[in-house]
Amino acid sequence: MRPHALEFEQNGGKLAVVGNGWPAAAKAWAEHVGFPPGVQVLTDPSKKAYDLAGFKRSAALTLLNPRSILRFVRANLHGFRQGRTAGDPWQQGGALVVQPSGKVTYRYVSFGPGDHPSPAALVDALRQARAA
Amino acid sequence: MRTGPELADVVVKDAKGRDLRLGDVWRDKPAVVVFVRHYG
Repeated sequence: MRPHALEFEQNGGKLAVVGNGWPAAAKAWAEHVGFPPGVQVLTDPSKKAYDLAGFKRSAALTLLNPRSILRFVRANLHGFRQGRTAGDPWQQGGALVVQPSGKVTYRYVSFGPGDHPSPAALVDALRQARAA
Repeated sequence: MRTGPELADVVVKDAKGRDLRLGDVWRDKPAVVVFVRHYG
């Protein structure tokens, strides 16, 4: 996501990344990833926002998902290594695009590790949110 | 789909540990909010 972070600003929006570990973990991770200054890195230790957004929490989705295992192998072959887990290991993620009115114009619910929308899909959703 | 006040009113923390109302993220312009599984 980091290589595409500026595209959201260039398209009239912003990017925020929410995790569920402690703030110190968010800070260390943000520094490691090297997001541009405009990107907000936040944490929701209560996972209340995850719950309200309808994101999944499941050990089976994490450990027993054949697609996720395939994605894990593929990512490792391309040199991407997962670091130490900081947060709930069973919590799945997702993405929202939200207008200033509070209307959610895009929602992606992840069903396992490595299951996430492409940056291009998010930029497109952002453009549509601005045009709506 | 509207987020309703519930999601917007969730209080999260920034990387410095300061409280932030989630709705403030999209208050001024549309926002892409990516929820990661975990840091790392």
